[in-house]
Amino acid sequence: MAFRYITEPEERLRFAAILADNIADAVIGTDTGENNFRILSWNRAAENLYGWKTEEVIGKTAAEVVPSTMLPEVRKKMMALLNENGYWEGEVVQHNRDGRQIQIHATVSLVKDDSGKVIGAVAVNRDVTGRKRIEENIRQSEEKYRQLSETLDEKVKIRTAQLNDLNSILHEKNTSLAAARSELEARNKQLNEAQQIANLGSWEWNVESGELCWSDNMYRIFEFEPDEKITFEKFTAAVHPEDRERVLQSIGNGVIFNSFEEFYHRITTPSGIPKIIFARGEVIMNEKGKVVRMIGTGQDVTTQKTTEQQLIRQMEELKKLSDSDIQKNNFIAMASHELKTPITSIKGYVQLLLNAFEKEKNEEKVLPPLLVRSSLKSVDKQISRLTRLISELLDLSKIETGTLELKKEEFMLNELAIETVEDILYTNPKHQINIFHDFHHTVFADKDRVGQVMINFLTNAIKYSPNSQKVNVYIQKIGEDEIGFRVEDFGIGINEAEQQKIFERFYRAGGKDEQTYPGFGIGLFIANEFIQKHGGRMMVKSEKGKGSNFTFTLPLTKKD
Amino acid sequence: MNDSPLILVTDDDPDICIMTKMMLEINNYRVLIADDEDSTRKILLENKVDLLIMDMLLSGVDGTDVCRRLKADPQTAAIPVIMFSAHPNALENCRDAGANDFISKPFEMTDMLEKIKVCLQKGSTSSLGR
Repeated sequence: MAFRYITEPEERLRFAAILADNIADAVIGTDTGENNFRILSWNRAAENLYGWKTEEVIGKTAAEVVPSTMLPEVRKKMMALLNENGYWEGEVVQHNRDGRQIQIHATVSLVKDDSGKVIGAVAVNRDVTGRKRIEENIRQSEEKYRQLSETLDEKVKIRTAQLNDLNSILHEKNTSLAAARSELEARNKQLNEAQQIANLGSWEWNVESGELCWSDNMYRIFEFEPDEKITFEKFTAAVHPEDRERVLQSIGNGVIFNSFEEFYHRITTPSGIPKIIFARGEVIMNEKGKVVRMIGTGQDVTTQKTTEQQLIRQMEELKKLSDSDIQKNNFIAMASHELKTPITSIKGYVQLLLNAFEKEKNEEKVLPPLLVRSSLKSVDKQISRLTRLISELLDLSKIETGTLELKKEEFMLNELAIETVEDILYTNPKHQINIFHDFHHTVFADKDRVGQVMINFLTNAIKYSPNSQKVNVYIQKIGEDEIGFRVEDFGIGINEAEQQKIFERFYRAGGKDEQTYPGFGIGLFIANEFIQKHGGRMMVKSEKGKGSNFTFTLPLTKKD
Repeated sequence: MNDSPLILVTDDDPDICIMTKMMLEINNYRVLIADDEDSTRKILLENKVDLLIMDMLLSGVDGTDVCRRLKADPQTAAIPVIMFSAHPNALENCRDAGANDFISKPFEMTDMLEKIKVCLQKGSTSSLGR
């Protein structure tokens, strides 16, 4: 390879040639454009790049060896830039000898002589096909990366969307959970309020672990601190000592018999308030039928129970009132009967006598004088009886109004007793009355009233001894200050329950047959009132079917 | 006199017994008296009694119960019974006991005699209605 126009020494030329051949880029020297860029030089790199040997290309136009693939407009523009700047750089696609397309980075410069006249052009072409490939690879990689990143983006988007969905679901869940929680709280509050209103608490007892759980209101009822953990022991300690055993028994029965029987029990709260609790419950069994838990309620029924008890008391009082009404009505019926009986006798005898006088006029058969006399005696006796009954009613009325007065005097009690027994024997001649008295003592009392009590005792003894004629009377000193008058009979007797009531007003022995005896049913009541007013006592000792002992005592007159 | 009707008067009050007896005797009835259930039954079984006049309260036994028992006994069932009592509300009880008639105490002698006459005519038919 040689430059025809080189005028330098030969050494310099040789160096230039070696230099050209050692350049890695293809260096092609050509003639001017007017001479169609005829190739003047073609270094070794150009040979390697294009496949053409130097000898084969020298003298040929550049277009002949390396046909341009540029579009005419582009080439025109390039030429214009080259002429204007003396330089052009750009990338072009060319073909080598084998027709393989190669990518060239070309730098074309115009070569000028010392006078500045263009004498040729030099092109330095570098094969950038490899670089291009790398670039392409990079580009493709970038594309892949881009795609990948787009995919990734997409995925991230999808995932994000999913996450968002999940989030909103979670949010919804949370919202509904919160709603559920607040509803639960509301329900709990309602339950608590309901329990408070009903004064009711609920409990759960784990039989196996012994753990006891109470509702808020249970704590309130038992007046335990809310943070005080309840235990079975604390519960039993609160139960009233008298109820404790029964409560434990009931709970134990629940475990043993698989059923919880409701029961009442009392408790004492820390503040000392007694309460009544109504306990109800259920047992919960495991699959083996063993009781593992108990659940139930405890209701504070103190108010109800107290009201109930008050009601029962009031009912009892009402019953007492109505009982006394019944007694009063019975008394009136009996009193009218008692008053009518002597009147019946009196009326009968009077009619008999009147009838006798009528018949006497007609000279018919008349009553013998003896019968007239006995009739009049009977009338007299019945009038006395009537008077006595009316006095009794009067006494009752005085006792009721608190206007009973005593006319006290000193007298010997046994003397009065003897007189009274004689009177009684006069009207009951069949009876045998024995008097036992070992001493004489005076009392300061209303003689008539005391006599009345003696008559009451004696007539009762006779009246209630239908099958016995024997009556004993004892006058005895009791202790230091009292004297007792006792009447003993062997009649029908009085059972113990009746003995408590016989001194009550209007009381009459309960049995149907017992009520067939005459009398007001106020005798003993009046007698008791008399004796009490004297500072004495009245006592009864009796056995049903065997007889009775009635005693009254009076204080003895103090001897100076 | 031996043909006249025989009447038994049962009352625990001896005065009423004697008074009634006198009243009936001057009206030509034959009269026996008793003061309790046992003597009443004894007299009824031992005599041909045409009528029983009985008090309701007999000191230890209810006259209506005695009446019921007499009416239930074939030996005494046919004897008419007039109950008499001073007790209010006695009429009902006496009717329930199967008495033939009832006299309220105190009574008018003429009423007593009239009721006795009717009862003796009717025999054991009740005038109290059932």
